[in-house]
Amino acid sequence: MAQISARAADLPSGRTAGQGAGRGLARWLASDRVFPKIPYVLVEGLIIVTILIPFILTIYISLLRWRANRPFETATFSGLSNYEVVLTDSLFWASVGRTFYFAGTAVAVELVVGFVLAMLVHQCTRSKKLYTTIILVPMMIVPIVVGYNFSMIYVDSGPLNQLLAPFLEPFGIDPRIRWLSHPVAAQFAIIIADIWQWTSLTFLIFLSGFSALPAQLINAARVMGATPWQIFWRIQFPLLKPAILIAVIIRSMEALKMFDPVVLLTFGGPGTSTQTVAYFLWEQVWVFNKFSFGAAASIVLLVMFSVFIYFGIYLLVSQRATVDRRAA
Amino acid sequence: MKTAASAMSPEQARVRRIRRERRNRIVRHAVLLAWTGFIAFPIYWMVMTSFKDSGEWVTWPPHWVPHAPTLHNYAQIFAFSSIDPSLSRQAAEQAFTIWKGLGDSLLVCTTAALLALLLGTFLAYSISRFNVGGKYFRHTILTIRMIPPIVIAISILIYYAILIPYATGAVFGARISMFDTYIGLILIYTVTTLPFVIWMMLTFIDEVPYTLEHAARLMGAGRFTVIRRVVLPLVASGMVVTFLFVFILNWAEFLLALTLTHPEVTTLTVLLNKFQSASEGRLYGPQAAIGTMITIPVVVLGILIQKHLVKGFSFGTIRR
Amino acid sequence: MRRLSWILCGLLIISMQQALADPVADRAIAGAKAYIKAKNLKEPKLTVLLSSLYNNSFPDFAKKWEELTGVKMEIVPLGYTDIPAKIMQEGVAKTGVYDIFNDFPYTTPDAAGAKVVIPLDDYAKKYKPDFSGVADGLQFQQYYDGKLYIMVNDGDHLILALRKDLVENPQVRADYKAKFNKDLGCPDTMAEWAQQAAFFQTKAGDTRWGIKFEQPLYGALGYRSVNFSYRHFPVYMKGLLFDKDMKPRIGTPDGIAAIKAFAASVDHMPKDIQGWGTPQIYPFWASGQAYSAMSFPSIIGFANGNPKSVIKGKQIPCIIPGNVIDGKLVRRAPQAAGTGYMVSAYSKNPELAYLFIQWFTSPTVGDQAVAHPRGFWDPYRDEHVKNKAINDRFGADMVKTTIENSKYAASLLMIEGNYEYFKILDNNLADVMNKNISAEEAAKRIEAGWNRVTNDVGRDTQIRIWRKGVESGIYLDKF
Repeated sequence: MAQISARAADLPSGRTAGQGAGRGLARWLASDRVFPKIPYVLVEGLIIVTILIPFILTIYISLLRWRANRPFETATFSGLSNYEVVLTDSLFWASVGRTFYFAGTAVAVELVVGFVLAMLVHQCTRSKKLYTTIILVPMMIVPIVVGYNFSMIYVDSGPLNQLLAPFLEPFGIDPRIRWLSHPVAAQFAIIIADIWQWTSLTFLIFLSGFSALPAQLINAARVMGATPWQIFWRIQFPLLKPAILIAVIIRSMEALKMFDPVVLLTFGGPGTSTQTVAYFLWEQVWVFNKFSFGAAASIVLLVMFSVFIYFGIYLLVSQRATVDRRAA
Repeated sequence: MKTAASAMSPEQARVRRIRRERRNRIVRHAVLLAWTGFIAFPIYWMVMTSFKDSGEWVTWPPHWVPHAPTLHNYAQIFAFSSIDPSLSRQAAEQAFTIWKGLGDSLLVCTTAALLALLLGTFLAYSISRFNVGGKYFRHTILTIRMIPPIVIAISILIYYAILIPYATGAVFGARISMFDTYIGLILIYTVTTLPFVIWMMLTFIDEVPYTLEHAARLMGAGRFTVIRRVVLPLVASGMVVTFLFVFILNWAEFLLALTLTHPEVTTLTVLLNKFQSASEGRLYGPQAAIGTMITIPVVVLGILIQKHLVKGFSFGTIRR
Repeated sequence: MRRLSWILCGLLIISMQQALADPVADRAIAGAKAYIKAKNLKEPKLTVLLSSLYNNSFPDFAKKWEELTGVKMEIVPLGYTDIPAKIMQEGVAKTGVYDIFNDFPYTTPDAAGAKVVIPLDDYAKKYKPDFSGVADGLQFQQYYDGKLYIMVNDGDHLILALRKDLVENPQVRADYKAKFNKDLGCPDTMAEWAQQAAFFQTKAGDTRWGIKFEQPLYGALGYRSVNFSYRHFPVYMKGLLFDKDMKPRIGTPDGIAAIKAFAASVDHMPKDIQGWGTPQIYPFWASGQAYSAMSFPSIIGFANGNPKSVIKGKQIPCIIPGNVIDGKLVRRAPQAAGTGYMVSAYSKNPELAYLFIQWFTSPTVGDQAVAHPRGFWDPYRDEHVKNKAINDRFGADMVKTTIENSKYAASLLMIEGNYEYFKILDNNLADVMNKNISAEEAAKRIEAGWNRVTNDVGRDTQIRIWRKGVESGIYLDKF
């Protein structure tokens, strides 16, 4: 606990805070009514300037017909035609579907593995800290470096193939598989890279959850003769539900934004088989300069995401309320 | 309910239990070690590659330890002149040094983290003490973080490259674009990490009982003194942790940097991406060297704040 | 009297120097000086967005220009993959930071459409640049929609390199002649090249023609990576990519055959070829593990000069193989690289920018650039064959082949949205090379995708520009 100087003599009285009109202004600013509003106004202002206005501008652009290879002044108003193009673009929907597929698979595996790891580490006594430190490392590696690492490993004369060689050569299969050139293998490559990095996060969430389990309750159950399995299912698992929900929400939201590994590993290739929606949009705007298409597509994406956002916030709020009730 | 085998003598049951526990322990450690190996392997490979010369990058069978370790890759990325003239045409496209990336990353990440910390702490204090913004403000502010970055990138690109130059042209007569500027990137990083700062500082500030401040106010302290002498010392470590966490987030950020900057501003993540392109193949060695250089500080920092991460990531749903 | 004769002597010598000097470059220098005086510029400056390839060579010329005219040159290097996006963003932001853009000619259509670069015809009429000796296919790429937009000093079209030691080996020749009843040499057609590649494909450890191959010998090398394959595809395509009304010709039997041949070529290339770029292909070629390589002319110089190369002096440069169309052999070397210089529409001194470009691409200075030891500009004028410095740098053989090959240099698509067309082509070619879809299916998808882009850009505009381009001869083929 930090030392708090509580002697009255040490605390300056409010009267020394400036003189005259300056004092009045300072006091008004420091008053209970105004003071808390200052950061609120600042932050809201910042958000308006950097998020809201650009957002409105994006809607405006999405109503124009404009590719950057025409001067902006010549762009014509075209109403909702861009939205029509986006909603009927099979490549767009393919990338959306693919993103859900990647995110779904990766998150499912991460949840299971993270849970198991947290449970195991929680049971360790001596090596808990060591394991925790190591298992948390991948989360801290810059995602782009992760992508690069895996690109080295997936090379056809890379170590992964070398490790698989003993299983393939007896069947006459050449072990030098080009992972990144095969559409399905490339998808798995991306998913594995995601799992490698983000299992640490689910592990972290579950570990906090396990650490917060009331030890007395579990001890009491054990004394009364419950099997470990029963303890797990009947006591630990229900208490961990909030943590599981948090993990699902957070990881799903992040996984749906998958971009970095795609750029580093596969460039959306081979063909378009690993293009996530973020990559697809990036290519449309930054490579093909289709600004109004990109604007319309990003609005569509935002609408789709807002369902998740709403659901996520609702769950967080209700979980918080549950905990508040329980603690009260 | 007693365990089965109640027909055994207590001695036998104890031996059985010990053996089972030992077996469990072995299995547990085996699984954890396997996962640790899976984690360590790519990092190990990257570090090894950074010491390999170009002949060893892709060989069959791959070299697990470089046969002719060299510091050439590090020399290349830390060189002061930009391109090694002995490289062939498109290889020259990809040979970069780390200095600009390092400098730009440090500048942008630190400034954005500091700004976010200041604003966020201030706002967190207001939310905690005065419930500014309503009951659910701390949740709805997370919406910013939940917007897909690509949507933000497209909006900000149009904003920085069209509206801002138009506005400055109309007002000041000179068209200034915020695209590919330090301020532009710092601003966006600040706004997108603000929710995290607020959320984390809330957990820390909530732990400081308001009664302490109340007592200090009663004793005649002004508001700023109260904050300075009472609150800040208690949340100082929390602020450090939050700063480091946000710094790591900014350091690792790629999409916004790729889309909104380069070449005037080039962060390390964008620089790493420049070492390769679909059309030109990859320079694995220098990439590995830069990757290693990027990774080390972040891992070190991460390990330092790890303990607090465990607490912070309970997202306030778990009370101790 | 004696002093006067000295002065006269000096003047004579100087005027002789002038006469030997390049009038095109001189006009540029004189024009620049006059411009500075007329506009009363205190500190004239030009900012160049330069491809980072030329970081080690361009500054020398920038400094020379500074000395000659007093115009300060500021260089902003950027990877060539990023420059098109940067140019288009400049078109949107209109900041006027850059005066000169250095990029490939096929960025010109989008840039011109966005009005971020200006036509240079008026300046060209005033200062008269010299494009003599530059092959038509190269020269007319500088024009878009009938106007001059970009000036080029780099002839980077595809040639074919063969292994001299294998071609001249008597046992090999005998074997080849027995098999195909034809002498081994530079292939005339793409089919012949594929035949030779198959013939030479050898596994490691085999002994053929009395030579033990410790390492495998691949029949061919070429660029097959996504974002690059499109540059090499037109060699296989018999004729234009679109017809008179911008209908894609990829679905015709010729188009499908081209896709099949392009995809089949990877059978005789290293397995990882789809992820390779120059940093991999060039050293691999120099390590002697391939019989042939379809690449930029600079591969010859690389394999001759690189210390680790085992094929020094063992290369034959060939002109590009062609296809037989209507009984005639038609060769077409895609101008796969080769950059030029454009003037920004928001430059504060566009005329000055143009003058630098005229100076830099003039006969003498352009020659010096090509001969520069650390530059990456390739020979592009007929007279380069006689230029000693250039021959020393590249090898007389290679220069001769390159210049002869330039007669067949054909432009890539010079219409708006070309990157999007190419990306669709690339993605589907990759799918075919990976044996995920058939060539027919790929052709259908490419056709659908291309039509979509044409409609998005504006069919009428595209048809007009396409017809104009074909008539000007940049694609070599006509309707």
